[in-house]
Amino acid sequence: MMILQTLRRGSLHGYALAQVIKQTSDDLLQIEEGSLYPALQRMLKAGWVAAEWGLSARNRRVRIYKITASGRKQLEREVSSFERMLDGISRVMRPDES
Amino acid sequence: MIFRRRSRELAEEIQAHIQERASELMEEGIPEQEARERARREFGNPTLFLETSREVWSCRWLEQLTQDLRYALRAFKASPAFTVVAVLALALGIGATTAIFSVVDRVMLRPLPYPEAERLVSISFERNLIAHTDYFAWREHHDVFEDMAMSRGASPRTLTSLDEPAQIRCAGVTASFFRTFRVQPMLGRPFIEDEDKPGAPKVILLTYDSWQKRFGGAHDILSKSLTLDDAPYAIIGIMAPSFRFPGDTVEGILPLAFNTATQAVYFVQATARLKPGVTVGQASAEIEGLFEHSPQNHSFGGPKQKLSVVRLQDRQVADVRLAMLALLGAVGCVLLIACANVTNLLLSRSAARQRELAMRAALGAGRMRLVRQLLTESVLLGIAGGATGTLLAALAIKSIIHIAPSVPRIGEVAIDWRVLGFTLAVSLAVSLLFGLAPAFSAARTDLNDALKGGSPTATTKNRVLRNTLVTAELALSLVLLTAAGLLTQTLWKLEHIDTGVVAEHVLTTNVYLSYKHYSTPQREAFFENLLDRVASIPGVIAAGAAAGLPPYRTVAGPAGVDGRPVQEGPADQVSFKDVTPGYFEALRIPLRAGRFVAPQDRRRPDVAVVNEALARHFFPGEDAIGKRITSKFDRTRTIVGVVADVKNRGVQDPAQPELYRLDQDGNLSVLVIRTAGDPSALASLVREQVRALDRNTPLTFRTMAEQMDKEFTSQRFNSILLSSFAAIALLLAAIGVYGVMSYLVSQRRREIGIRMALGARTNQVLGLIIGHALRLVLAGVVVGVGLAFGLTRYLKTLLYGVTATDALTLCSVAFLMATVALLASYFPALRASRVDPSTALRCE
Repeated sequence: MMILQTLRRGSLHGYALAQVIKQTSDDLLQIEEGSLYPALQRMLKAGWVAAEWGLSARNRRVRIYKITASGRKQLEREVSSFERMLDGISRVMRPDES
Repeated sequence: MIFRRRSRELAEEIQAHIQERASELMEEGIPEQEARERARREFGNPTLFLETSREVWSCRWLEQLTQDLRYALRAFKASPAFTVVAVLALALGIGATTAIFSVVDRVMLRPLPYPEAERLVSISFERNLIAHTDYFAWREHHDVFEDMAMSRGASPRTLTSLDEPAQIRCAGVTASFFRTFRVQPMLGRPFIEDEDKPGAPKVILLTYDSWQKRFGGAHDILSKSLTLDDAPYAIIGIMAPSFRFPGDTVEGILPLAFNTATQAVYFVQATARLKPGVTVGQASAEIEGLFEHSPQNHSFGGPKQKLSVVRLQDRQVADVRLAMLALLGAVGCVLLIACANVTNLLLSRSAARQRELAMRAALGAGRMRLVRQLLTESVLLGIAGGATGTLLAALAIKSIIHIAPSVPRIGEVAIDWRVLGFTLAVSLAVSLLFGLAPAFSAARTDLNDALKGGSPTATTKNRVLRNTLVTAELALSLVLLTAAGLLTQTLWKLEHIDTGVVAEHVLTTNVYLSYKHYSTPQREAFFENLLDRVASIPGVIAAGAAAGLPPYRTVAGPAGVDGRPVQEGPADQVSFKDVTPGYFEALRIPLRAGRFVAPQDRRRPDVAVVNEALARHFFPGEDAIGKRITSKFDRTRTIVGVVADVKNRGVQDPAQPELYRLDQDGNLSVLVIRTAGDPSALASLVREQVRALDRNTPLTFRTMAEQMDKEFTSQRFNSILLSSFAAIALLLAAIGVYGVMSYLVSQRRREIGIRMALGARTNQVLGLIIGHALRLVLAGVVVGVGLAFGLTRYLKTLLYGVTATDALTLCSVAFLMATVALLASYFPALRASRVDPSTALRCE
């Protein structure tokens, strides 16, 4: 979900993706390289992201990931179910209000 | 192809990632070298990520499987000796199991070849038979049975309408047989009602094989007839090739007709088809109720007869059930021993492979991944063993059928899909059985230790497991050896029973004369003439004839003597045997008193020769010569001679009182001919002499030795098979001991080196190792003897002349096993004693 959200803001290559997630979450969330690449491969397979070779800011040949239309749909689904879950959790955590 | 490209791209991407990070670090002012290293460290294990990323794309388990298989094959190639020994051990275990299972499956497990055969039951009370009167009484009670049939087992009939006269085995059945068994001829028709009544036209059904063999499969067979025992029979049908007569091999099926007008009682086999939903127990209760009113219930004057209703299949295999179960148990033991052996081999191998496995673990292989890889190896071994074992079994089955006693359906035993499925299942099951423990113990390896190359400290747990396994192997093989020893002794004892005759160099043949063509005096003349001719054949020492051959009687009945009138019942039963004078000489039956039957007795028909059992029974402590003996169906005779006992109730039972009389009723049916050389060589000359007198008499030659040998077929079968299995078990156990001791020696190499450096002598080292082996062997013997004591008593009914807990047998097999096991440990011990202390210590 985080990967898709990040990619929605712009296409990125693997290393940059990890950096962006780390920075936007103020270092709270660090995505492990060990999960990043397998996750990207899974998304490629599911057709949520597309990849093409390009150049990085440092002029290195890298693979740049881009969110696809079905990736956007998936993101919406995930976000809404995540929000429902979050909503549920917060209700449980504040039982005295109701 | 696409896989490879993808993983190359991914690898490149990962490299790019690391370099990006490194560049970034360098921009922060960190020197290049350090930046690179840090970037790589931060990234983690690229190989592992590569693998897990790749797995996303592939059918994960398939790829891992091919990988595991590749690893396994490579590992096998690296240690061919281990692989060969493991596969062979498994092949022996699985092969033996497959062979015996294919027999047991065919004989005991598969349904009989009739539709809904599980509803067929056999009803009997005396020797699997019932009285035909009961059949007629019960047939009407259709509460539990759908149908009921009577049959009579095969008896030989003389077929004379073809070129060569022959004996063909024909069974008799009622017309209801075909409905009860739900079988139909493939050509023609079954018997119809009233064809099984006395006086009906004579008809016969032939089996497919008989049709092919005797009539060349002639198309017009149904318009033909044949001559059986001098009467013409119309051929009305041919049974399908798949048809099997229940419990017997026959060529022809005749209607079974009884003259119900007479008082005579005939004993027949009765088979019924249960109504759907009726259990054997219900049928049994019903029939027992009816049996209460049967006159047979109170006949024989003896104890009340026990009627039984059992499934037809159970009845057919009742005699061999125990032997089959014993053999299954035996191969089960062999299989377990083989498994234990392979487990041990795997354990010692995994100790040797510790570093390889540790390396894999260090490179990121999870424990389950390692276990799976090791299990793949086990399964591969199991399947290779199973395949080799199937080949062994295929070879063994031929020999097994060859030596098998006459068991229903044994001739059909073969390896088919069902058996192959069983073998595959067994192979997989044993793979897990022998593979799990080593796989887990190997995967638990401590990485650090193993990689540092410290001495492979085999965990004590492993050592205990290995010792237990070897002890179990020894114990199980001791059990098998004991059983084999007992059965072999049984065979030996049976073969050395004094049957009362000298069977060597005796040729016998049946001579069935047609009752229609020969009157009683003509039969007598025929045999007298024939015996004269046979006696003149060069090489014949003596020739005689009788109404039947030992070790069986022909007719028997109660007899009485002066002062002891004839009584019904089993007490004073006497066997009556019609013989010619040459009979005693041909079989070398010793004379104890008086004289043999002589030719001149023809003029003095009221004399008899008796055996010692009769003399003892009726005239204890007296001289039997001159005494008179009477019976209902024979004239009163005066005893003129006493001869030694000859077995007449089977080989195992003591001889019954027996009376020999010179044949005067035309009962002779078999020739016994003592020859100087090989008895079989004279068969053709004897045949010529018979043919010269009568062209239509079928002959079946057999030596007396073969005749007696037939009695031990099942014991020989049991003995040979169990001995083979015990030998395999012993071999495997010896390999097991050898393996464990070799491993022990290699483990204790350093210790032995130190001992020797400190002055231990070769003998002491030898003693050290052999002492260890001795402890294992003793444990094996103790457990094995205990098991044997517990288990062999189930063999009791298979034994003769030896008790199930025969101390001598137990001691000798324990000694044999201990010797073999110690021998197997001698070579590793020898190797240990030759350890060169300096190399042993340096290599660490």
